[in-house]
Amino acid sequence: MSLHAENQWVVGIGYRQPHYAQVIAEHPALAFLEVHSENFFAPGGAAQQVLRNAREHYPISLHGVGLALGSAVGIDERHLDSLVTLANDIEPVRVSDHLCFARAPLTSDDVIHGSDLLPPAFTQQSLDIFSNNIDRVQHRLQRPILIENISSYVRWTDSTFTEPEFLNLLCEHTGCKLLVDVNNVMVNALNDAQTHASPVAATCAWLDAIAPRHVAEMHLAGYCETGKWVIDDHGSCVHAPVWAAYAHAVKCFGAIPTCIEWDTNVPPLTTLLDEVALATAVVRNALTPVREFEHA
Amino acid sequence: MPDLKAQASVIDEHARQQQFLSALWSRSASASQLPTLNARGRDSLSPGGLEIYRSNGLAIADRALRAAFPIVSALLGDVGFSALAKHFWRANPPTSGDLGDYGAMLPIFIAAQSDPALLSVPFLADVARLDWAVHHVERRIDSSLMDGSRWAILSATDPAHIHLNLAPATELIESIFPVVTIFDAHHTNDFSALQGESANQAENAWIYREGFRAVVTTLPVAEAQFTHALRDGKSLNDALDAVTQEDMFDFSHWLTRAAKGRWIADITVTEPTAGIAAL
Repeated sequence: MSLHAENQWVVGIGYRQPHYAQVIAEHPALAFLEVHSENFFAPGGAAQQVLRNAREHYPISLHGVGLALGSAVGIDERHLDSLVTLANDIEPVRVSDHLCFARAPLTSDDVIHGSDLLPPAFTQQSLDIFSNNIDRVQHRLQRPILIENISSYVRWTDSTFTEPEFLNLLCEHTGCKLLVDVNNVMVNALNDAQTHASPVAATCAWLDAIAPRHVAEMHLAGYCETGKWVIDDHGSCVHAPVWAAYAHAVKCFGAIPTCIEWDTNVPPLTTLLDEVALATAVVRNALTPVREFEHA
Repeated sequence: MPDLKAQASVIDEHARQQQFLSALWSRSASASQLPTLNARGRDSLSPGGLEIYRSNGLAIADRALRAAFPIVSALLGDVGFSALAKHFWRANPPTSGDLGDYGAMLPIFIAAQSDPALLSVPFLADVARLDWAVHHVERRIDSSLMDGSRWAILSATDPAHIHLNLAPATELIESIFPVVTIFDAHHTNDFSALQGESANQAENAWIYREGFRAVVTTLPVAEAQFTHALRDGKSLNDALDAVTQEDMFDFSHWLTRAAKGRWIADITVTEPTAGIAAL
């Protein structure tokens, strides 16, 4: 049996254009394919067909980057309309977006979109904004959405909650679920290296603070180090500290669906499938002692 | 009664987010603009972290614009297009989370620039219009085959009451430059057609879809006049009247191509108004 065929149907990949034809032709063992929702918002054209073809072979997870759920001006209804249309058409296993804001009026009443995952403050006011916006989205989608923690390069000193506290409260207030991006937690810990003795320990502490019942998916990806900063660029294999933290996450949360993301310098599909096999092995190894304990 | 406390709290975050975005779009962010913002875990002032967001937002916009404007990008080269994208991004921030929609204003922006590098390519704005039309046509709703019985309307109804509704995935670009020749040259990497007289020839580009792919072809002046009138919602009779070179326009020939290319989404009939009927 090949390494790739050993996927225990927990791990999927980010489905990107260079791999469309090969995935459909070869049908590698993957739990799901995850796409960026916005790439399929166009009402017609080739993209729609690509996604429908993929849907015939795999469950699809819709992962958005543009809802900007923490924006104080609210949700862009046109964006939400497109997401609802896409979700109704594709019937995804999960719909997710990020713990971020992006929309605000720049100088006048015209609301712009920052085209990025901008870091929110973890305050009661911000929690109310997120809760209202998530309620709106979930009402339209008629399902819970998953919220992903982001990597960030700045933070607000007037935050009154930690990020895990904020995420847990958000789930309790709205019934949403969490998409825990282990790489993002690690990137933040590495950028906080002056305040954390061990980035892996800091990442594991962050994971420990998340209520396991809220977690519905995890993300793994690579980062790059530029000297002053560690950048979450999704452009390389998963790094060793992230694998270590992922093993801890699996012990905390169980065998949760996990996506290998790779968005820049996209490698051959076999490289992603090797990462899938590694993640599957981590899940298996992390859970084995638990099973033995339960049998004892 | 509105909850004033909650309302006030929303205004707080509104201001914070507006200030953050303003800092990203300003040429140099001031740490004093965002007093509660710190770069992660470091003693440095916030602009270091802000610069990552500013660079990333610009890089994302640059990528989206290159994808939508491949010929403009090729004409200007990497450095030239990056400079254009940067200026455009500052003046026209994205308003949607779907960057496939970003760039509609770039042709107008180019036309308004006085930068010598851009002025040296006088047809750049029209090529940008063509790039955007191709990008948009390939994203528009797919055309279904029109019900065959609709064609009978053409022979059974007064043309003054017939409307040929063009398919959503079609566009007409009227230009004083040889935009289709430029488009073809970039796709075939053969620029010989731009050497002779055709380099100064006006061309009308007609963009439609074959399957999922946009097709760009030239339309003679008469067909462009007719198509322009149809796009304006004119009746078949009025569209035919809009053609100034009647001897250069063969409606049957146009109709055959339109049927084959699925240029027509539907044929509809409008009832004459009471006033006209009384005549």
